[in-house]
Amino acid sequence: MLRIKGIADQGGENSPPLMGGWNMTPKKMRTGILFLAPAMLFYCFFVVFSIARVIYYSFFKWNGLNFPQFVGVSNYVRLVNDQTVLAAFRNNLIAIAMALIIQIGIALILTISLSNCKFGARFFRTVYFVPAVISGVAVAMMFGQAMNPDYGLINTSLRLIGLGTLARPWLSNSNTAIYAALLPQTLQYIGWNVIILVAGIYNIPDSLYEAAYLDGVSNLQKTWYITLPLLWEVIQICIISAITGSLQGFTHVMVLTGGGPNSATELVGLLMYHRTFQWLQFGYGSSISVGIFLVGLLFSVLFKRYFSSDKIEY
Amino acid sequence: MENLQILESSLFPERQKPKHRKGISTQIILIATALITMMPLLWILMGSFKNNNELFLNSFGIPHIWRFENYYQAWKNGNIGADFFNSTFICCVSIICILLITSMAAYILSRFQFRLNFMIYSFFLMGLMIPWASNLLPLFLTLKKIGVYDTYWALILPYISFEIPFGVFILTGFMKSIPTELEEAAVIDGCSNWAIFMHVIIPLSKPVLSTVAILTFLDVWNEYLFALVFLSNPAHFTLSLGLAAFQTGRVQYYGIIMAGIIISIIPVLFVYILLQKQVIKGMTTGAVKG
Repeated sequence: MLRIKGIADQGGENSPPLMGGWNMTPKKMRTGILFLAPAMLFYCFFVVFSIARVIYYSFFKWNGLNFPQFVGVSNYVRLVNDQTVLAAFRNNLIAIAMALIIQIGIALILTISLSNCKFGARFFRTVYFVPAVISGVAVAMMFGQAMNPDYGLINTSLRLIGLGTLARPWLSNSNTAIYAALLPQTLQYIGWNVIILVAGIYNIPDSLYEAAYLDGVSNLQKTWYITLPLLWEVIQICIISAITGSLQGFTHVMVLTGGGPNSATELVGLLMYHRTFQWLQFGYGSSISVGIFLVGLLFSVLFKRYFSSDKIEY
Repeated sequence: MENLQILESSLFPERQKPKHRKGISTQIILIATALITMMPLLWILMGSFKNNNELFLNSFGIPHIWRFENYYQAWKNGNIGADFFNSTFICCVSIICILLITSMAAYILSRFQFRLNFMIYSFFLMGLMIPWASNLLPLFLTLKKIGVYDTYWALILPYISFEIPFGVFILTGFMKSIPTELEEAAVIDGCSNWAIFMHVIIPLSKPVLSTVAILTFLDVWNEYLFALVFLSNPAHFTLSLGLAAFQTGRVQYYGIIMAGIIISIIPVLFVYILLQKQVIKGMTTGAVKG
């Protein structure tokens, strides 16, 4: 398998010259195979082979007990016509909208504030990132406690400031449940976006701001005409990961509501889990898995295609 | 790739760049957000010392009596103690295996030249796109078949496998930047490949190895979905799973649930406070793989 190639151009333009004087002796070949084997075996067996099997299963009707029956694309036909899937997908779209507006919106405001911050910028960044390192389960449960109708942080705060009439059982009211259930995952990753955006902002050359300063441009204009356009490439990363993350959303909602009340907070990921492991619809569940993967891919490809501008040169 | 370099070069600048702006309003926004971020955490921390009565009457304030027994209850009766050890064991084994396996692969991919090198590297990187959740069913069936379902290995094996793409990606990138002179010297001294790997490459790669270790720790410690599907015996539950089980009636006092939440996040916060830079770097590079 491994053959001698001599001094090659492997690994992209910024890799240093590899061990140029070495040749691929049989001994080295053996070492190479031996060193690569564990990673290759694990990766192929548990990741690649698994994803291939999900795709394969999605063409069968199977409950784990009977003999799998090949049904062609009918699982996918059923998928796009299934009202529960569509309802769940609508909730995923709400998740995407919340992530784009609330998560990235707040992250942008914080990033721009941080770039103007006179002292303690690093401290603030550290604090904002705290929720992102905590497990989804713990964050969801914190919000579950905070949204408790009786003693929860939110309702008691509302009562304290005299807005007690607004207090309600956020998670068990089917009108508010979906927003309440999606809030934790939306808020948890604000700090993560802030870090990425701050990295982008530090790359904008000072000279631009100095020029703007000399021209007497206001702060708002600087933000609008310099920072945001030059940050666009980084904002795109945030948008794409917000979209794929929201499509795969599972943990928070599973812990908070499990899809209830009355399927009001069902997400596609939850549906996949329920169909596969509770209803034992292995084939159909697999087709939902593949669907989630494909829709995520489609979103990011379309987004890159239509919104990415040329690379910015400073 | 260029995004990665942007991140690398600018994530931790030595000094703040002056942007010629002043303003008290930005400072207020920042402080207010920081307070709001920490508020739920503080509220949970305070609540974890209260009993139900006090929680209803005095939801906000500092507890009148500090009920440390809530923690004891969560640890013992809530089974959080056992879950804690399960999570720790699974984490440790996963981290050791992932470091060994990926650094070996990265050593070959960054140092050896052969025709398939770049193809194998890209093949590993492909895995970064695959969502963990989509492999749930085949993994479940495989684990049942090889007889490890509902054991620690039912989690360790998938965790190792799914961390491989990230590990290979970040380690190969770093090892390519290690100058070759040291190895050449070692070759002249007659070292074997294994000796070079263990005594030259590994010590030099420590900073990146720690990034991979930390990210693996966070991923594994916080993981929920695999644990939910691949475990059924409560004695094997991980912390995430045990915590979530709290809600469905393992305990009847809310303060104990809150104590459980606090226990589960202490190790993570500890690691974050100690190794902030590495944590942030590990969690953000994965996304900027571009």
